[in-house]
Amino acid sequence: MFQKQAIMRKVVYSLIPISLWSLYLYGWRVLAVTGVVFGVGVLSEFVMEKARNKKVSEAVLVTSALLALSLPPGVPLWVAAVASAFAVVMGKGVYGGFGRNIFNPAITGRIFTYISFPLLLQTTWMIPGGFGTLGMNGQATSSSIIEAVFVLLIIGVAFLLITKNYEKKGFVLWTILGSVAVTILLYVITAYSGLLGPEIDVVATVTPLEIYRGATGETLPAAYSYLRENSLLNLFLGRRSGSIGESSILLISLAGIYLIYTKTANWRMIVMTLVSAALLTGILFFTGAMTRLSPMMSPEGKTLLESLEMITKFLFSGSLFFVAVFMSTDPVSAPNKPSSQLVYGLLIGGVTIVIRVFSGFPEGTSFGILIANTFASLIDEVMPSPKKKAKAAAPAQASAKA
Amino acid sequence: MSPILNPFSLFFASIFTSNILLANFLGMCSFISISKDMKSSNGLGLAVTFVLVITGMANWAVLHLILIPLGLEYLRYIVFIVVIAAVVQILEMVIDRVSPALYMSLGIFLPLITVNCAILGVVLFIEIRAYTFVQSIIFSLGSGLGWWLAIMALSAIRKKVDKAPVPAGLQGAGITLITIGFMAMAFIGFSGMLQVQ
Repeated sequence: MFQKQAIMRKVVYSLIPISLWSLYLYGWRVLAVTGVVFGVGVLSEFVMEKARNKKVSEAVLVTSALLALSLPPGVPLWVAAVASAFAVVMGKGVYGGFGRNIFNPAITGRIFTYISFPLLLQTTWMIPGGFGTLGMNGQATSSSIIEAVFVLLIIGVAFLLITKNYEKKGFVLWTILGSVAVTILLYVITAYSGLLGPEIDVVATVTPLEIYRGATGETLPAAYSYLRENSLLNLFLGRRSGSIGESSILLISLAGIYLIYTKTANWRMIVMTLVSAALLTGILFFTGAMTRLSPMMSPEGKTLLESLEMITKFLFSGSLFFVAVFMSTDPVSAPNKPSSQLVYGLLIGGVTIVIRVFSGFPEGTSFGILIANTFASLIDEVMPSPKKKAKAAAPAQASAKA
Repeated sequence: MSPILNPFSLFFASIFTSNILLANFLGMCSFISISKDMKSSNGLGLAVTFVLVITGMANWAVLHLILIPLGLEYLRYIVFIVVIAAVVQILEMVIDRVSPALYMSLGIFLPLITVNCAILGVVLFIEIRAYTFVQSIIFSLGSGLGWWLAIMALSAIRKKVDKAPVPAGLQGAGITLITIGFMAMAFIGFSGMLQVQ
């Protein structure tokens, strides 16, 4: 059914703890969003690869998983479907499928929907914790039965197409009926057990990054108290609102260590992204450039420790770690030479922070990846190729000197 | 318009945040056709940057020293194009003399710089935004470098894409336009960052 790819599997394994944690944070919505993204993603990949007579690659599972985890939990499901289809078809399919994409597919899907439907992606955060029972912000309704049917239909159709059982008589009908029945059952159970969460309650919630910017004058005291509630420990463990999978720095770091240890991911990009982001944040903070975001980002009147805490909080907020570990390390869209990988990571971290601080967007990680992807090929062309001769010659010279 | 405009932010704005290609979509035709080959892209990028700086200065001088004092502003479009054409003609002769190989590889596109919308676009931006002389040099240099950077990035990407099994209907210009779309999408991230006027 799938083309086997060991590397992609390891990435999927590393995402499991993060998905479980997000399930605790946002509950049923995570399942719905993930279901739609996977269903539509696999379906699009199937259609694209059918034309080439190739099997569906396991890479599409990684793309779908990363995309699902990078969306806000309250995102309307049709937006998730659009993002997934765009990621697989336009991000990867048109370039010739797996291994040929220039841009990170998950990021292209994320950015496409982020630019096209900014309100739906910027206002659909949920209050974390309690399996998603705490409600969500404004625009989107929380789960509805139509959405749920939509999810299972897509998964059902994807399942049908891939297992090729659609030729059998009556199979289609039973799949559809089964999907609907399971959905209704699931809905009833969750609705009456309270797992579904309040349907109409609108609880405004924002991400820490949105707090850091724009808090001035009257909103400042509220922002300060929010800052105190969101302690460094909470941010580290991931008890804060944000995209589905981006919050837990702890789990993401563990996944990163696992990926580096198994040589699935390249440490250069991860480390350089984080280091350059941290350095730039430090520089901007201490020069006072971040005061333009909000007076609370000013270095004045803060001890060194408080300043460092503020910087760390700024780095721990948003999806910087998630992107550094999972997106920057995509072997296909990243450059190949070791030296250019360093530059690539530098570019991601730098652009991310520059966009966070200076541009109109609260979060810049996705743009950072896309811009680094844009220049990845050029960096690879410009950087000197690793000379095997030089490496071999260097120890020889050293020994000659000795 | 605003003499307080920081020259550094103007420079970086013209390269990144309001990139002449990826934010304003000017100079698209030669961008798409020349980016097939890295070497000619480099040459054309250099040529465009050079022409931009020269014409930016020349047209500013013509506008402020000749047209405005004589009250002939209504002639500015024609005059701008004539100045651009003259500069390109001189540049063509110089390149033919200095580097015949580059001259051959640029082919028809060198004369076409005359009608490259990026050039006239930058000249008109300079006029509309009422830059000072120094600002117009910075702006045209930045725009040229931005154009150069964009075409180099695209040609490096196309080198990779050419080897990929792109669906038949999308090969060539199709996939290139999609790639440019993604590049432009990336540059949206810089929007609202720096002021150019």
